[in-house]
Amino acid sequence: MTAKIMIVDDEMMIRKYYVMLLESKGYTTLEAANGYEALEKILIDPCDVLMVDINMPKMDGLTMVKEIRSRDGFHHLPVIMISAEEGDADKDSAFEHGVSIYLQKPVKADLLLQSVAQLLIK
Amino acid sequence: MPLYQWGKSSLSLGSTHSCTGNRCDDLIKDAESADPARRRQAALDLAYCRNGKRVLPEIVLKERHVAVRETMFDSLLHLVDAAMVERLLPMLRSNDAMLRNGAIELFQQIPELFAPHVSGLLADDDSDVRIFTINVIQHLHHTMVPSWLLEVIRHDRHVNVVAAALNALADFARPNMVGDLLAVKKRFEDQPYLHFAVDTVMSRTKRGVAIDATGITDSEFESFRDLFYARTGILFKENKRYFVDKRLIDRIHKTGHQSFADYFRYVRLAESAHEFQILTNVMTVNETYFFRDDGHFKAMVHSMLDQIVANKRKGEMIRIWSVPSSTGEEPYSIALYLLEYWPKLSDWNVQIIASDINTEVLERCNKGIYSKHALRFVPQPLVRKYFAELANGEYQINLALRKSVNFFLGSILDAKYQADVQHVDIIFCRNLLIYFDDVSRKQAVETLYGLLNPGGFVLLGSMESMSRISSRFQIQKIDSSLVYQKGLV
Ligand SMILES: C[S@@+](CC[C@H](N)C(=O)[O-])C[C@H]1O[C@@H](n2cnc3c(N)ncnc32)[C@H](O)[C@@H]1O
Repeated sequence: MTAKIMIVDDEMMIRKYYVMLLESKGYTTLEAANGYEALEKILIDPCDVLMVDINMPKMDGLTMVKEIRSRDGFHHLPVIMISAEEGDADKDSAFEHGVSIYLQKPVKADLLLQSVAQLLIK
Repeated sequence: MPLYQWGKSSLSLGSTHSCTGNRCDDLIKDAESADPARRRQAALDLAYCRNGKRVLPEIVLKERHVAVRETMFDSLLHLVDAAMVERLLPMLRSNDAMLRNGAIELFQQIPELFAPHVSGLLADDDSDVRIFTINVIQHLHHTMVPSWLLEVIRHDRHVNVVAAALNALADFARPNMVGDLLAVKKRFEDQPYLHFAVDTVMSRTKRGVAIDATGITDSEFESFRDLFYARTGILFKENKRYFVDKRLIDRIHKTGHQSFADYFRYVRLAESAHEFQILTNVMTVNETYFFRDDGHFKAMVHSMLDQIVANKRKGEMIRIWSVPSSTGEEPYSIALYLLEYWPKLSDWNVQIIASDINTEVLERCNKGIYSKHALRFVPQPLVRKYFAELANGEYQINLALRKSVNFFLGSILDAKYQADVQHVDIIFCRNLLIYFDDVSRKQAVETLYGLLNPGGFVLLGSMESMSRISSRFQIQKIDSSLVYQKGLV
């Protein structure tokens, strides 16, 4: 069974980029354009790793992670949080929310793949 | 107590006059109460209070409750003006994502007010602010959007900002952008993601090649503009070019024509009335909502109708016309105000008629189904009284109300009206003349003048004014609203 990665980002182009990278390594992917959509999809179709952009309209990344974490079965879901923002403010609150790995945009392809692989081993 | 007692007996008069000192203070206290329900009600009422403009931008910063904050943003949208935009701009710098998103959504809905700030914001030192600005403009209905985005990909040095702009540009991709796109790859040689993004946008411009083969040239645009103007009175200026071209190209494709020339020949035929109607439907802007510029409705029930009935015999007909009706929120708001707030309604026979040139919106008028958003300024008790919530979360206005308004198709510039609509007492002609040029504005207003009863009123949208169009009317100020009256003799 290949691992399934869910990508949540409001920018369509970024999702396509991650999909391309991840699928080239044989992962299955699932996309959502915002937190609400992600919540709906993930409850029906659980994934192994969640990649979330911190800055999204409607429901931002942190709120979304908090929401998902509060559901049964999702307490320990590994989360990669991605942010375009500079500085450590986001990073700190991300870790407080139990985010596993925090990446800065633009994300380097090898770093992304490495992070996903690392979370799947755990 | 909340400011408004939505019931006939205690409706207070006029929007800015509705709160006296004490009540205003109560409202401000309520806005800081520990009870979210109270705060939410206060946020709603502040939209109608003269303190709202001052207080709301402050309290929204402190609000933590999601639903209350949303309500505050709705009320801010109701009150927003150029000065307030200045005060709200710093929200784009906030670390509070929810607040920032609220501001972004609000800005997206006020293109004219936000546009003057775009260049400045795109030159901001903080790259995050530039990104959030792009988040606003990518959903802004403004003709400058593609040029703003192109500026960003030409000059911005920050990868993430350029990435956001490329993402937004995907929707506007055109072959003439290829040079700028390729330049991005050069400028950011070691950024694989940007290369990917550029390729994605480029593939879209290629898909657009078929369109461009039928490309709308300047003179073609002009011939379409002239035809559309002659038939509707709506004049597309050069700055509506993107909007118009996009829709035209879509119709050319959907009707299977090979070029603009083919399509245009077809549209001009008398037998193509149906296609012209579809063009009209896609080219018109139908934005509207319940209780928009509610000062007019209040002026109607508190003053205009009383002035009108003073010159009528009991039982005589009063006729109110909403033109353009768009999707029906305006004529139904008139009906709701009459039912709720005009105590003399039972003594008179009131007819509400409503018309538009867009057949699609008229169908929606007849169905009377609205989103929660369209109803955002209708007090809950009225929603409960007159609407049924549907399974999908939308609301349908009740049958009696749907029957109370007569909808019909027609252009305000069409002489045919002279026969169909006559002896009107109040005409709501709001947010239509802005799409016209001076000649059609004058013609429209002359028509309205002719159809009005002596002593009848015309109301225009808040951005429109009669002064440059016609001097035939007398201006009356009722509370904070201007209304235009035809002389009695
Ligand atoms: C922005 S809406 C205004 C709706 C409403 N009166 C309001 O103020 O909220 C403009 C409407 O004008 C209609 N319209 C445009 N040209 C027209 C014309 N010549 N005659 C009648 N309606 C027209 C459009 O179809 C559109 O629904």
